[in-house]
Amino acid sequence: MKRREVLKGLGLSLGFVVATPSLISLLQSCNKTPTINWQPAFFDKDQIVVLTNLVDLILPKTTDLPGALDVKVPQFIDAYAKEVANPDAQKNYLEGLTAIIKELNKSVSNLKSSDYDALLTKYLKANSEAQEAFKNNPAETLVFGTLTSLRSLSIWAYKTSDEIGKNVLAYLPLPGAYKGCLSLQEASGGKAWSL
Amino acid sequence: MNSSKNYDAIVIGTGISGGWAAKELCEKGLKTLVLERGRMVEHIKDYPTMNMDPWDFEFKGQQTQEEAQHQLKQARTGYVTNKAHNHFFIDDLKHPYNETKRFDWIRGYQVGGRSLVWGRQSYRWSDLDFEGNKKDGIAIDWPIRYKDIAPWYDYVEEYIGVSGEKLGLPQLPDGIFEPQMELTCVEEHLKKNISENYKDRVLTIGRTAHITSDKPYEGRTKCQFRDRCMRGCPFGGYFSSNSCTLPAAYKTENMTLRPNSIVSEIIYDDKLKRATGVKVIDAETKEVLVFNSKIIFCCASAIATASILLQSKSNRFPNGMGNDSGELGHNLMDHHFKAGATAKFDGFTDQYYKGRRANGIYIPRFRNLGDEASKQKFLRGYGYQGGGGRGDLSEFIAEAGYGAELKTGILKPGGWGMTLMGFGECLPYHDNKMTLDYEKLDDWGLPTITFDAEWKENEWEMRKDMISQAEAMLEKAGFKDIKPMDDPGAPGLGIHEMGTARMGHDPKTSVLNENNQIHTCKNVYVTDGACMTSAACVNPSLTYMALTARAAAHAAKEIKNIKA
Repeated sequence: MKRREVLKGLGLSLGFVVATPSLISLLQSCNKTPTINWQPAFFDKDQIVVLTNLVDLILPKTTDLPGALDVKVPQFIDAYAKEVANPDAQKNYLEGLTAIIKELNKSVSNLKSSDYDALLTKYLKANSEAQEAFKNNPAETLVFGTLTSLRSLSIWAYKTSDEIGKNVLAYLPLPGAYKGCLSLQEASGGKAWSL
Repeated sequence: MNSSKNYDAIVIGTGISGGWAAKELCEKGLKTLVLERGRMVEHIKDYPTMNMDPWDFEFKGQQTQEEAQHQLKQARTGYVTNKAHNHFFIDDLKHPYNETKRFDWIRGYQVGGRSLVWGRQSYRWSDLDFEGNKKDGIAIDWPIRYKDIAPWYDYVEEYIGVSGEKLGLPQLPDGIFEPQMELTCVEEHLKKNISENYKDRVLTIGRTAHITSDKPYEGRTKCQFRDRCMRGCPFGGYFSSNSCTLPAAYKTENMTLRPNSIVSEIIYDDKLKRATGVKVIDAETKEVLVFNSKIIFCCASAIATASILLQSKSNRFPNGMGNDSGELGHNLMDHHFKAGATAKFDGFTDQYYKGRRANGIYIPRFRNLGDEASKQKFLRGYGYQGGGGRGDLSEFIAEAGYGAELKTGILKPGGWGMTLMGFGECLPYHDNKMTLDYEKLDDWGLPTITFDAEWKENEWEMRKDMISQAEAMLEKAGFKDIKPMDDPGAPGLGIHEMGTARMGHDPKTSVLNENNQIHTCKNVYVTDGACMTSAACVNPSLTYMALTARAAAHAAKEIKNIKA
């Protein structure tokens, strides 16, 4: 990803490249948030920036393992929302992201990683009491539902990506035999099966 | 209208039954025309997804919204429209039908039919099933008993390969089995617990049409445990017409296979007092053709076969061929299922499995076995299918929330879960039926089918027991979070349609005799699900195969008396 390297070199870490490199003037931020150098088909600019930041925090890159952005989870969710999701689900995604942006309560270009983190902590680390309380507030209900649904989609897309499915999970395309009850170590080295 | 060649035999359909009819008739030296309404599917060559991983599909196998519009009724199953195998299921827009009551008609129009995508569970019927109608005073008696079909079960099991465990149960006769597949740790735990807690029931591994030994089967090798059966198996690990019976028929050089051939009717000659052939519409060119033969095997599936017979009107049969009784299209049955329970299990955290077993567990019928102890408020019974494996991450995800801990955790095996799902017998009701609608025609000018069938009190009563017994067995075995399952769907969802041209002793109350011949037109045989007089609670395909082989042997003898 040359363009990404260029952007990193320029110290511009939040990016939204619409069509050509000349549009890098759009990019403006001093926070360590992900670069977006692809053209979304379903979500608008602000929405995809927010979605990408959230997904990055849900399944972050670590020293030993790729993160959601490394296996293009936001790109998958964008295409999935456009092509696969039914009209009701599409409406929910859009309204959900709008509600999230509203709750974040800043212009998207000014949002910092810590803002997203605070939102995720409020909803995805909520105890069952707090989760119950969301139900009394329509906006919070929508945000909670959208975040859990984004998390599910992210987990699914992450685990079924080429990189994770083949190289991280235990991948055995042609088992040849079946053993019903083995020690976890012997069966898969402690990992979940990919297929 | 072209009048073309004469054959000894015509087989309509290439699925489970048609494939067997083709093989048996060809091997007996009969020149056989095999007609299939769908496209050609050649073993291995036409399995485009057989080696694809989830990431090889654009949306991991999910259909786009646009694609989904073509399979809205097929999608009622919840599983057949995945892009891994949805090309083996029909386009609902091209093949519409009508529902007075909801009916889930799940179809595969191609050479091999639904034998490519079937569930492969293979169980014998017993005399408990064949005698059931007579003992209960329900519908009509079967004209055959277990002894009539037992040698044919042996014959087909030996040829296709069925893996399973012998149990010595009268209600579920043992067969000739390939080595059984293994249970998972949690299934083994439940099995042990059931044997300790219940005298009347046993948990076993499913009996499934997979080769599991190194015994030679022509052109096929043993199951590789990929669990990609519905895509077509390059190893021929499971039985399908495409991997097994059609190649056998082809090898005899007696078979002419004609795909894209929609049979619109069977032609009856009032003077000869027998069927002389079939009228075919070419699905692509819409050309109408006639093919003649001495005998005809209807193996188009229960609904399509009844539809063809209803369309076959003549002076002798103004209401459809063989329909003096008025039973043609009636007594429509399926199995009702998705009643039972799911549960989680704490423990075995250091245990897992290796390989993907395309098979589950089975708990044979234990209700209404003829003794007082097993007698219930409802008639007949059910068996449980299901299984136990790891993969439940819901609790972990909710607890971890998000971040690095979540990511690491989802890459490990989840908790153990177990499902017990009953498959129950549905009684034959005269008013559960399909009829033809001549007002709404399909693209080929043929009448569409209207369904009017429903589950009734006996099925609803049985479902309560299916749920409560599943819960009780799981509870006694220490499972947690036991949740009842009750999703009755609608008839058809079991994809075991049957009964629309039933066998019986008397032409006044049935369509077929004890040899699967139409009582009143004996050179026409029906050996698909249409012939069934009752439904039992076990998966029916093995019985269709055995009945087909048996009828083909009968036909090969009878044909000597028929002049061309």
